[in-house]
Amino acid sequence: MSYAVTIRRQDLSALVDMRGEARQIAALLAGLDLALPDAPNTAAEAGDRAVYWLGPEHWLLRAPIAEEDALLAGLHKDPLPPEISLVLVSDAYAFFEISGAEAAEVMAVASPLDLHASVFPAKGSAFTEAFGLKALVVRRGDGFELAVDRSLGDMTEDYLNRVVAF
Amino acid sequence: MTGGKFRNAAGGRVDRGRPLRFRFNGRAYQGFEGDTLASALLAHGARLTARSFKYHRPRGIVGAGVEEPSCFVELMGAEAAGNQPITTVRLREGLDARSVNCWPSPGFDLLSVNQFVARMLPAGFYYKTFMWPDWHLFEPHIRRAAGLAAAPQSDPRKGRYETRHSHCDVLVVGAGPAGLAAALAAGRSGARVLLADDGPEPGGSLLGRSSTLDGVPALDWVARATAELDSMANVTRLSDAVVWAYREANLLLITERAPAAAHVVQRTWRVRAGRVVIATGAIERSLVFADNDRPGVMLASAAQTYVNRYAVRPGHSAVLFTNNSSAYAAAADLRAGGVEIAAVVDSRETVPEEAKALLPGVEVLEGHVIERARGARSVAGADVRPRAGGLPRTIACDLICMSGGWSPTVHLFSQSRGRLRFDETIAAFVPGEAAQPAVCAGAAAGSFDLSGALADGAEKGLRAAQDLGFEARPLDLPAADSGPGYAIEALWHVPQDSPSAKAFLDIQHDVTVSDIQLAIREGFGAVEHAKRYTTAGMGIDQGKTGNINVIGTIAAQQGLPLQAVGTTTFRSPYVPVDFGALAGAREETVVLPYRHTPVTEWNKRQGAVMYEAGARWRRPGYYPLPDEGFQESVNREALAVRRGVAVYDGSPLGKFEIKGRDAPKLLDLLYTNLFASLKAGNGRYGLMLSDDGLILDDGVTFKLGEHHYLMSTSTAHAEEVYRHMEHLLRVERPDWQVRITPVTSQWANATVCGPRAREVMEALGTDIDLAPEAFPFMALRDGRVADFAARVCRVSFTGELSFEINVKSRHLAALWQRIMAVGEPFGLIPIGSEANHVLRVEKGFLSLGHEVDGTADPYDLGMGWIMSKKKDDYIGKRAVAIRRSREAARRELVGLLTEDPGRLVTEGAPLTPGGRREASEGFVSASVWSVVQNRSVALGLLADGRQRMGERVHVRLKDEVVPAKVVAPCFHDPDGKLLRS
Repeated sequence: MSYAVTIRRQDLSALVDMRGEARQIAALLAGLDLALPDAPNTAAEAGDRAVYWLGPEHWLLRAPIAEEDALLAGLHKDPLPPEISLVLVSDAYAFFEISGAEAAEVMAVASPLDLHASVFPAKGSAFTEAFGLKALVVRRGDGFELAVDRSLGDMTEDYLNRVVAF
Repeated sequence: MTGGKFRNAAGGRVDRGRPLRFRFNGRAYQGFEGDTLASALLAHGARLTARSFKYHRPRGIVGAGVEEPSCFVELMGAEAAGNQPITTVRLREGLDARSVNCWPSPGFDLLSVNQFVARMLPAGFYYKTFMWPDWHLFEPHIRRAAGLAAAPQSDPRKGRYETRHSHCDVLVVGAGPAGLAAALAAGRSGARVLLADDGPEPGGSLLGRSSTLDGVPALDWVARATAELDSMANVTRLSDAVVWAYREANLLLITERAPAAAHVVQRTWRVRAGRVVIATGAIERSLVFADNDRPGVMLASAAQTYVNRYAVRPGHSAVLFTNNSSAYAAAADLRAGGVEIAAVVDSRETVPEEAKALLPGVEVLEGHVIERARGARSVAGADVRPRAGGLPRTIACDLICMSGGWSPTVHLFSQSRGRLRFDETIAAFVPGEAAQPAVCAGAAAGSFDLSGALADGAEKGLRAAQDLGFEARPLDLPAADSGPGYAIEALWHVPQDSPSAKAFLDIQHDVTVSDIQLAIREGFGAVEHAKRYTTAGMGIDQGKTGNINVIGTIAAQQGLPLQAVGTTTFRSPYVPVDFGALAGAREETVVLPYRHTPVTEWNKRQGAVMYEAGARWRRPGYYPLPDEGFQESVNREALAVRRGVAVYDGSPLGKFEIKGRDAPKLLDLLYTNLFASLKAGNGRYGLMLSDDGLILDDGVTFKLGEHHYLMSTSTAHAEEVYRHMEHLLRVERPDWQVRITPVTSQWANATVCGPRAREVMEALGTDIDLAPEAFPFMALRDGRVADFAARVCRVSFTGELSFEINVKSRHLAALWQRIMAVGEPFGLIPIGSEANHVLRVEKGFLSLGHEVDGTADPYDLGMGWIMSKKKDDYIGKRAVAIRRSREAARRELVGLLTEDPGRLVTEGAPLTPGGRREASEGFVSASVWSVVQNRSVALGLLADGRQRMGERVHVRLKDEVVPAKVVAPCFHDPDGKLLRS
């Protein structure tokens, strides 16, 4: 290991892709004691659940995989209006945790996004690019989380290992 | 321990306590930590260190940095690299280098014979060989003679290259006096500052001079400024890091040659900067006189650097040739360092007294020029004459220091598309109007005196920070001692009487004054033309010391001002950059993205032959048994589907959930056929056209519920279709209420296909009624299969009964194992994409990249039925109608049966009339061995194909012509009874 980082491919999370007007999505989330992020490129967290801003009228809800069924049940208590889209995507993403003193060094190789603490502070979350792939980047603890399409998980792991080891 | 007989006992910035052994051209030497290869060799009196590119003339070291035009070396061993300027190679223990472009050595070079046939090698001779009699005669010889070092056969480095992204408010390029001042001003404001310098230590030009600030060595101020910058958390300082490209949107590329991370060989930074201060200094220019390339002719500033920075005397006795006052300080430093100044030859009629005062007792020949350098392998003297004409006299010397003035280093500013203007006062091109938020400072802006450079740098750095909203305050700057000023009078070349005299404008590429004059006579007088015709300004040094003299010579020859001649385009990279530093970690397995499905590892363990099959998915091509060949494997797999049962991994197919009130409108706009009438639980095959009426994609879309659909697309075009849909919704139909979520990786699928597929499904255990009437073709059912929640679709890409079992990706590997176990009694086997290809060709199903080649519309493929007559509009409708109204012949899908049934033909092979070498009338889109026909079958697109059934056509291959019969494009179950069974 050349950089002082720990890289860990994470187990599945329960993930729901949420699209619709903020007001309506927020109302759904309220039933789960969750809120939408305050601003673009940020996350809202409550315990081990989080909501990531992915784009205009587009968020990703994340929770432990054990809560997947409960999460869906909570969101689908009533029939959804047609203008809202909630799609289970737990299996669509591979998440990586890059933590440690030099996590930013590794992320600088991966992503063109400015991840400096002054512009991407705690709760920073952006749907951007990593290793030329679409990726979700989240600042967490002493590092970052990186999520890519599951099919690209092995390649991303390969790339991360190349950055940190030789 | 002196590190060479030309090394002074004291002074310089080398560490005499750290001697380093190195080899050059096989000989052992010793230098010191802090040396470059150039300084270490000069310390040993080395002169002839290279041979020239074209004439193989003897050459020595001319510069002291990146401007070096003459001497390039090849590094061997652990740092193997070609064509390194000798002046930028840092000395290290065990360094092994050799001269390039000479054999066997620079001292005895066989190709030096080129000097004697120089008249045969005029400007543009290379291009002239194309004209007569046959360039093939010359090419091998030119190839052998040209070029410099060979590329290393393999990368011997231990470690990785790295590219990374970076962002800053202010990027300061150059850590000389102006750059340091700019960085201090911006850094103190709190702005995020990135300071990059191409040298191993900061100071820039001050490292090679004896300048003072406030009466103490200027390098003391450099040390203080650097320490302050290093103490600022908001400042990042890079050393040995050259900024070599300025791209659009303030993107600059920096390559750090010796990053702190031990495992990183070199690191390239892709920097997005808010503001850029270019403080890259200036480059001294050569003077152009006969034999100005002899070893021992050196830039005055380079000689000054060697004596000051490296404590090396580049000669015993020097003649200084200059057209400006700056070189007098260089000569004074040389004198102080122990080099005798034999004379100063100054082309100006009047030399300012303050300049002469720096060299008391030295003969200053005002209004004089050096006509010719004496000596061959080393300078032995200078023939000096009055500029106005007259007989020359020879002054004995072993070093000629030349100064043709200074050119601001505007390369990056020009790369940023900033305009340049010629400043007559300093006879140089200087920055003009900027195209990006960039500004030059100090010498790069034409401010050559130290005080001016400091003030300019501080001002530009302060303003850059203020522009971005930071509160910046002016710096208190130290005062520089007043010098002799600059006072240049341009001298682009010394006119020569002798036609054989070689006065080099571009030393690296052996371009002389007469070459430029010939180029002008032959019609290549524009500066960009002259560059290409003569190669002036090309190559490794990119003409850093000589371009201005080329421009001046063109201007003089054509009677134009230099502004009218202009410069050639400054291109990146500013200095050579390793390819590895561009690629970074993107090498070997990650050069291109690759995608895996949940059963990729299983496939590998089974020995499947894996390769990419669209959109970067690695898929099994086929599963060979021991001792089984390709065709045998594919036949076995295809037969399993036709006669029994098989399974394939269909996970890569593109999948999208589409929701919203206007979802049916979107589908009806996208597809050529009607989707609004689709009932929940059913699906429909559709074709999607581009705006120009050509097939973009095909697939099946199911209706899951009210306002809710599941669209499948081809594997290869999934991403393109997604972009297409999002573009429609965001740009063209923003009022439509539709949400699209890609679910390709959420749902993985195993497709069980073949006459016994229903039996396998039953054996797996499912709560879905599989009866044909309950679960017909093109239907979708949610339920459980093998205890997994599943969404099963009855679609078929093979022409046989098929069940596409979609499960959450996390479950596919387990489901797959169950299918293999349960299917074993039925003879179920896995099949790869090759068998799938055979099966679809037998059915005549279209395939993107084969029949759908970007030129076909639905009618061409015999699918006019899918063009809805009920819908008012859909994408591509009008374009198809307009195109077909011309009634021109179209290439149409046909089947092809080669007359020799055993003959497979190459996919993509042209069909030509009679097999003659004529314009093609179509091509073979697919050719396979059919397991149901037991012969080869093919599909093709043939002009007016449907009207030519039964005709004989010809496949034109490289060495033969294969006749074939035109038939209907379906070779199996034309009524589709099996897939609906």
